[in-house]
Amino acid sequence: MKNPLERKRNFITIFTKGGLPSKLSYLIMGLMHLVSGQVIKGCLFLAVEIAYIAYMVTSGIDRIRNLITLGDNVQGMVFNEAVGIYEVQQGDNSMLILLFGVVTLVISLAFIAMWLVSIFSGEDARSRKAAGKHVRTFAEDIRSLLNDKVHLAFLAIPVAGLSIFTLTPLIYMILMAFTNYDSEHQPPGNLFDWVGLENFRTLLSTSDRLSATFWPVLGWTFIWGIFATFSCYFGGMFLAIVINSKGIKYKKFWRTIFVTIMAIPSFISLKVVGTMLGERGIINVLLQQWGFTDHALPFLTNTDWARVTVIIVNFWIGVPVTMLMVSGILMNIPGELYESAKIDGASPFKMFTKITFPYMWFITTPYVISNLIGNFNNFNAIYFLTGGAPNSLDYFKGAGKTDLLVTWLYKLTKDSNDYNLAASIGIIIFVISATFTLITFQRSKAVKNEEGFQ
Amino acid sequence: MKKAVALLTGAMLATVSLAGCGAQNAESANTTTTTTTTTASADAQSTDAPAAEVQDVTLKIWVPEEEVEITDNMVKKFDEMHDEFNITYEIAVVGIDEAPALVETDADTAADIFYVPSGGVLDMSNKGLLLPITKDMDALAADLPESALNSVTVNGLVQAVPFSPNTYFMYYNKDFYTEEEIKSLDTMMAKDFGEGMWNFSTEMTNSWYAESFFLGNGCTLFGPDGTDASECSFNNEKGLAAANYMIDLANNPKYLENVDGVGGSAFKDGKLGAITTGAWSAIDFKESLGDKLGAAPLPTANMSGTDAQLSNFVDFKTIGVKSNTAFPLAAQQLAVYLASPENCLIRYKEQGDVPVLISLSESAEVQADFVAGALSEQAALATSQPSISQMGSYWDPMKALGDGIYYGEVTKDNIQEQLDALVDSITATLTE
Amino acid sequence: MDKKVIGLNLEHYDKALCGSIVGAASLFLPYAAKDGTSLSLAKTALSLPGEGKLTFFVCVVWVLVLTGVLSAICAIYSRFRTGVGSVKLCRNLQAINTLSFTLMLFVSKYVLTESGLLSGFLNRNLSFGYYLGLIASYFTLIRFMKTTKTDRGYILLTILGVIWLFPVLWILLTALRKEQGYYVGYFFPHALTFQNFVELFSHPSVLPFGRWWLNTVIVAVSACVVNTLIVLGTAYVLSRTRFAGRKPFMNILMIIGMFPGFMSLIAVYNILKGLGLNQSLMALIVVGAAGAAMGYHVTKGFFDTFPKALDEAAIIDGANRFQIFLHVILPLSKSIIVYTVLGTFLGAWSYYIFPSMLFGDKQSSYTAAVGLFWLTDMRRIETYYTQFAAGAVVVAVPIVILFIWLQQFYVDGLSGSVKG
Repeated sequence: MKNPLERKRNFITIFTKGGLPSKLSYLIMGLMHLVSGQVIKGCLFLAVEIAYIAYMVTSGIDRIRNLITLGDNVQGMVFNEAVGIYEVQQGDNSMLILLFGVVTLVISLAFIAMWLVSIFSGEDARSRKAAGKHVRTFAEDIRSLLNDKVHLAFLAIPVAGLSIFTLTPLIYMILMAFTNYDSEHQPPGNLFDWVGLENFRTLLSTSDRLSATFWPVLGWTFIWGIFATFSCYFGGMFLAIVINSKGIKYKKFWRTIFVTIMAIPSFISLKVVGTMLGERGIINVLLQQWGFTDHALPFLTNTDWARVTVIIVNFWIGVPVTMLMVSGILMNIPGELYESAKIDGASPFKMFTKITFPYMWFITTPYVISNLIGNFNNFNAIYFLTGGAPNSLDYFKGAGKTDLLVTWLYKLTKDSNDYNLAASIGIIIFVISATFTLITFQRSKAVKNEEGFQ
Repeated sequence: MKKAVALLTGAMLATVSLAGCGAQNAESANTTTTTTTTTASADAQSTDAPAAEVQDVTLKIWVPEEEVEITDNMVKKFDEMHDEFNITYEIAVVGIDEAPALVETDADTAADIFYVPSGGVLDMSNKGLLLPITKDMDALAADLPESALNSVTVNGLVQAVPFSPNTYFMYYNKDFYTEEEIKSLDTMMAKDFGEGMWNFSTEMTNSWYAESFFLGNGCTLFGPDGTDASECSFNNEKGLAAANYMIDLANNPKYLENVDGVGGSAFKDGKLGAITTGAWSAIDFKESLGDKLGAAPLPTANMSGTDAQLSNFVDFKTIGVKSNTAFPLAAQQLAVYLASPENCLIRYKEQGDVPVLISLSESAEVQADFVAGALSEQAALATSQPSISQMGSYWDPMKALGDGIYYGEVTKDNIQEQLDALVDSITATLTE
Repeated sequence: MDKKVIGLNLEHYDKALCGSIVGAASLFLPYAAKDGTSLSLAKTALSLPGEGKLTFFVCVVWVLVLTGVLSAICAIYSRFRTGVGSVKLCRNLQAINTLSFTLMLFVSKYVLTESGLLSGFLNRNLSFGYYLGLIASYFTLIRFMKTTKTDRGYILLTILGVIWLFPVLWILLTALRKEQGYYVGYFFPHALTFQNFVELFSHPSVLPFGRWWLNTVIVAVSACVVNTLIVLGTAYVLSRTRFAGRKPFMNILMIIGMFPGFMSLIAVYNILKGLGLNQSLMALIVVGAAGAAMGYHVTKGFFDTFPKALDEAAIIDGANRFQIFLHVILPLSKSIIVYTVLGTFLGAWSYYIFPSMLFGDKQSSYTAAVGLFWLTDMRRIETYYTQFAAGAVVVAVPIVILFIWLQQFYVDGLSGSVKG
């Protein structure tokens, strides 16, 4: 779309080189569109600006201001002599102030993005008009959303949803790490305040006590994540290949058998299996009746047994999920690849390593990585199956030997209400897993070369 | 890059409307406060000129599912008694353990009146979630035992109304033991009932049960009065003796660990001599064992040379009022009424909640009930469950010790270190 | 052997024959040995009483010995009179033999101690004769299957199927158990009943399970539609179109999923409250949809394998991007849509932690997961355990039905339809 007569202007030159409407459009969003004839679009931009200003005036500015102090009025109590009761006077709730401050920040960020968009799109309209080209009508703009701008149409809802329900809470949690929101500063009865890096300093100073737990738990989290992810991945792939192989009849029946266990909500199956594996659970009862052992096996009570058991139970639950996914993809592998391999006399194993696996791996690398991260943070599997047990006094505050970092964090929060420290540890965990993921993700072939497998 | 119109409009509209609602919410909170003041003045007037005007009151009450019906009757009666209120109410099912967390999550939608264990009172009060109860309270307070009153008093103000003690004691099968034998755990364990039978069952892998040995042998948790967050003497000599006793007990084949209710099943099947559990098991046990069922306080145990009475935690079921209730007067009057002698008696008869009020627990009717008797006796022998917030750090480490002892990872060789670690974990704070 | 029979792959036959002979021979080798006494399977079969409560287990032993011998005889016979029918008979006999050999692992103790042949028997007392027979039976079965060109996958699928279904069967039996209670020391209930299911639906004031179930259906169906569309849309634009900020967007999606979610639940709750959605089913659908985009990976990977020419051809035909999505990409993606639909549908049934916080005291809005978990509270579990299991079964039914229905879209294999 470049106009050969005029170099495309950047953010600054739009202002310096532009005429009065261009300059004013920095202040009044949509002005340039109105001038260039894009009336509806201009009005929409203007409406957004008015809405934002209205919001800021009515409550936004107060919220930003409150964010700085996190509230001044402590909840109080006054004795009403006439009636003989205490009456509570509502104070500020630091937690809500923090949250709605963050909401205002996110709204402001979205507004700034909008503002930039309006400037550039206004400039685009102006330069087209100046060059005597056709200026897009509103209807054309809408239509372009179905074609070259289809990503805007498709991503609008996800982006909005993620900003509201993921990003905002996330920023809220990060900010919490810089406050003294601990057991002694619990809203609504008390206020909490900013303390800077104090919490991280505390964590470092109590480090020997915490690190005696942190590192072993981190280590187990990694072992668990890797075993849980890859056992299910390969197990599921293997199962799918067996079921999908040509000689097997009644494929639907076999798949249904394995999917049945998925049909029971996982926390129920985890709880039931946890019961079955107990000292007097049915598995121990049967193993003794069948003569495999003469005493109950400590499936979930001995550290090593428990760790192996949770991985196996997770395997039991996870394999059908992968099987289902892999089945879907397997059918899409071009059949002629196998035909030609067969003609070359390749063994089934060779066909797997040379065709099936590379194809699967190409499609699923991002899935595997996100699954790995998901397993590092697999709260449900541990919480519902063992609750972290067997607990051990080797660990700080009796954390459990199957506790992952997340479940440990959860216990810390629940036991002592120290949200600030929990948030700080949360940030540390996040930094570790984010670094790990980004490195792996960037290195993965599928990401580097998305058009690769053809 | 060109414009991201649709995308951002969507996000903006959503966030703006969100913000708008948030603003409304803040306003409505203000309105609530205003209402409170008006209410108060209206009440003031009504005290000056009784029955001058009727106030419309809307209340929400949380009770466990078994008590919905009886509570409904109680509230109706309360409404009849108080002409100055015109009460609209709603009763929702929320158990006593679940209420504190729910009030904390969202005090606006929470009930005005709810059940709360006394162990949670201090914590909730520190968070500013409870309304002190002053109206009509004096008469009831005079009828309460000191321990119960202490457990709900913060800074000299009563924060919730106790109505029933909550602790566990011992049920026994009269085919196994006589009334004399059940006084000593050692005597009980010495008997032999043969293959497939057990003598005694408790739950040392549960921190609410495991403490009875330590506290019984004279150790203290958080100081003698349970308020010193830096003190726990479970690792002294007496604690060591108690832990050793637990190890021996766990290794005794005649002992059954009550994991996931196996003890209860065995007891009902007549395969177990005695079990420690609370009043909630009474109905079930009576059904299975009938006249063979007996109840008694916990036995003594010879842990370090002398017979020491096992002593467990006791706390109380109480009724609380949330601090931001719109009708503080009516709410606390109703709360007190729900815990009044007549209603405690109804709750005892219908639900088996043994009353805490002195006048009732000493009444002939309650005394005649062996379960209530055992509970009251045990409550007197028990230690008040500390309610300081450090108590949150007690449960997991203690469970770790109990697990370790029962599953054999804690042995007599490493017990002292483990006890030291236990005490360190219980008293440690992250913020020091 | 240089014979050729249509439908048989005779190169494996000799090995199968050897296997079956070894298997038959192992019946006379020591099968169990303890304290100097040792028994062969043949001897055990002969010395067992024919009636009494042992019947079923004794049958296993007899069938084992019988099929072991018959299979060997049949194999020798077929060696000289080779035909599809006789070899298939060998295979079937051998299959039964293998099954009984495997079952012996589970019934030996019962049979030997109850019949008084060997008291205090444990599986570690099994002797080499048994293991030889076990291995030989599997070996022979595999060889026979190869000969008859039957897929060996069946053996594996059967074993895995049994393991996978075992806990499911346990839940089902618990749901049908007449004796109430949490722990019972036996596998098969003493009496069966449907009462647990009836109970589940007959106390709407205390336990409104029907309502919970319906709530979950509503959430699951809505989430299914909305989330699947979002996932497909996101995956489509990330895979098939190129625009500025695409890679950073993908990276952001990846890392924001890594924060421990439970820490921010209270924030999500308050945001929903600000929107006036707290305690409503709508909130669950909205929150689910808001995070749906993060699960785009598999679908994107799948779309990535479609050749670019597909889009280009459509563009030449005058289609816009949206039409390509609708008319070209979606019809090719049935199997991955099945996966996505099923995944979100399942998610709605098992989503527990957030809903439990969201609904608070409003039991009429509970989903089945929250309600069922409520039943497993320590105070309630003893009374409600069988009903809890019944609830789990009721929850599983719509999912299994949905899956069976969705499977038809699996059959339309895509192989060959997409060519570069």
